[in-house]
Amino acid sequence: MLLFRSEEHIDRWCEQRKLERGGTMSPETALRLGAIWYADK
Amino acid sequence: MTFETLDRDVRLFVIQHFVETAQPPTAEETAEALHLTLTESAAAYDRLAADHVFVLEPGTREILMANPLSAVETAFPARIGEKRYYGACIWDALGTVAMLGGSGTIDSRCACCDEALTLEIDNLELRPVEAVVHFAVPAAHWWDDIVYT
Repeated sequence: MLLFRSEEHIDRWCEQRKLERGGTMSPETALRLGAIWYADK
Repeated sequence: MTFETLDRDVRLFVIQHFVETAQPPTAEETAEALHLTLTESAAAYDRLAADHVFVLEPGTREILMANPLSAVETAFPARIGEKRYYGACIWDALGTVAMLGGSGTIDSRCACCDEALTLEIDNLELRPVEAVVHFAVPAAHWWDDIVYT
């Protein structure tokens, strides 16, 4: 999972590598999910 | 001692060692600390790797990742207090901060343009930042090649 400045940068990165675009989420959401994921680790 | 208990103890020791030193212990160090034989310690490493708890360097019992912590420097460093840890990806870097108290700074970069992207987190609150997390690999395939993921 990589971090990008914007959705446009994701599009450009995928296009350069001829990769299908995957799912995205905000860092805020990823942090909230991570907090749940790692709460009992 | 059951495998379940042994593996739990090994996992806990490895994570504690990783958190304290920013490096994972060897199977020998784990055996010594937990009063195990090297065979027992190594077998626990193998089981935990098979269960996707650890990622081992291919052909060795050296821990590459004990999620969310990476033994090698990556583009996702998480500064927490005076210590610096590395996540294998942005998900793991955020998870590291979440796991270790909820406050820290991730000094990352845009994967496309290499512009610095700093994520500052205070008590699980992220300061506003223009950034997006991209999952190039669907979750169902993360472990097909976890290092690539």
